[in-house]
Amino acid sequence: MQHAAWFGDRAVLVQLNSTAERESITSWLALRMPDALIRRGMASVLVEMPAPDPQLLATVEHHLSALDQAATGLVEGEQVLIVTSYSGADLADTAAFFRVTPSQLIRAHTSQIWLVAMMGFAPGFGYLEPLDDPLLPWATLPRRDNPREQVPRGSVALAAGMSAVYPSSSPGGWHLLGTTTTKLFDPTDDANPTLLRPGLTVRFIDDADGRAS
Amino acid sequence: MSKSTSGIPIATVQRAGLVTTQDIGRIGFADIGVPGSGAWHQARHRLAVTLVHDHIEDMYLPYPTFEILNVGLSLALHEPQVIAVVGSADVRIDGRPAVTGVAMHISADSVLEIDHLGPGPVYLALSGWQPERILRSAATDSFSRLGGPCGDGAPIKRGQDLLGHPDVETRHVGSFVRAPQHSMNGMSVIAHDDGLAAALCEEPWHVNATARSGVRLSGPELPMPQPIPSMPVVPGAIQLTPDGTAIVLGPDGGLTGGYPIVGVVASAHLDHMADLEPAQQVVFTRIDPASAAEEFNARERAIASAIVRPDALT
Repeated sequence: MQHAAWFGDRAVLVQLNSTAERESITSWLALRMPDALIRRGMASVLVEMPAPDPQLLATVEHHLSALDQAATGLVEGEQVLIVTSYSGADLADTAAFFRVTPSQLIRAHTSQIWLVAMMGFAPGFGYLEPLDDPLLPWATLPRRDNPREQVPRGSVALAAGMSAVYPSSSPGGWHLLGTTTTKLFDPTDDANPTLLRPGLTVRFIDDADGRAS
Repeated sequence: MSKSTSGIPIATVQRAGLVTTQDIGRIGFADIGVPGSGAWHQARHRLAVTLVHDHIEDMYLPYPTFEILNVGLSLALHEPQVIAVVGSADVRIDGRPAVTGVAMHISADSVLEIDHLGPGPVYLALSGWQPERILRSAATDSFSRLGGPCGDGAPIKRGQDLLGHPDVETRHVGSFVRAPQHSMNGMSVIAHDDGLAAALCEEPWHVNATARSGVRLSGPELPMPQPIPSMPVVPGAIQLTPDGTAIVLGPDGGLTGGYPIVGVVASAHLDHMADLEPAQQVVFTRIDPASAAEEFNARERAIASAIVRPDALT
């Protein structure tokens, strides 16, 4: 069973044995604990209640012990397409890091199906990890030595095994492959302020392909 | 439900230190990357709101306050309001001293001056104020750059107008806060890492800096564990950074972190963090989740019964 530990008096952190469990455990607990807000981490899941609950750890452990490993409802099935102009400042250097050409890097980035593993850093910012086997050794690419003070809004970026799109301009240490005009965060939309949600999958589309066809 | 601001100018900001619009926070969006933010000292905020309104919230939208962190706030009123100031401050209306912790009527064309004394935030509620809301909340989130008069998380500035409606209702005027809000030097912590939490509680810590993002403390050298994969964090979580600093995350501390977590401050003690000042000493003690829940419930009862209405005295 996964290890669970108190995280304050109103939350419990579940350590995952593997990242593949993240979606199944999240949906398993979300169905059984409708009052909880469940947030994904890279290797953990936080179960947070609106008020302190002394029984919370026992409740979470009870549900984890009954977790049906066969019922792995992994992905919601909905896929978000993000049209990207691959003209980022770090495209050439990143391709060289992987010892491929820029167009091979673009092909790998657009062929990979990405899973929204967790959100944070900024409203609408999704940490995307490869759903299946990585098409390039993404995890070998470290963050930039010198983070930029201003990464433009809509930047499509890569670092540490993950991809992401910056919903607003902010400081950032990831490698910039390109930009998208797709809006990732709309604070005026109460019902659906973000394009991404944890558990969705993402495909990047090269806008040069669109123009050619 | 309407989220856009409405109404007429009820006041103009004449002077402002570090002052932001806050409420109970932007609730329910943390899983998509939008933090709760909201008032740093929730008890004072809630008392200020309850003094001038019937309830802590209207049907859907939380009521706002100004959170004054330093210097103070002066407003030129254009419309009558019921106001309340909660926290340690000098208050003047048209130059005459006024009290804190009491709902007062203020007439149009008056000047309200609040000088921050501290320690900790001071809250001002105005009964007719209807600030702009983003994702159902008026909270100013400096981390996500959301909320506030310009929508970008910036504090309020001189010259800005407050929109809303006039209020001549006198029902709540004279309501007051019964119990003084006591202050504590210690904070109780629910351990996340047993070894680190035991070490944290051994010696006092020294406050180096405070901000809504978090309070930075130096103290005894703790065993430094390995960095961890990015994980969810909450206000009150105590992070240990590689240089040995402990950071108690505040309402604008973000949603994810990669530093090891020692423990999390009990919900009932979170407000005390807002009152810490640089050079102060802090003693952490451990508390179990069941006792922490009891303290939380006791605090909720205290807040709920802290306000005396004028009609209760007749």
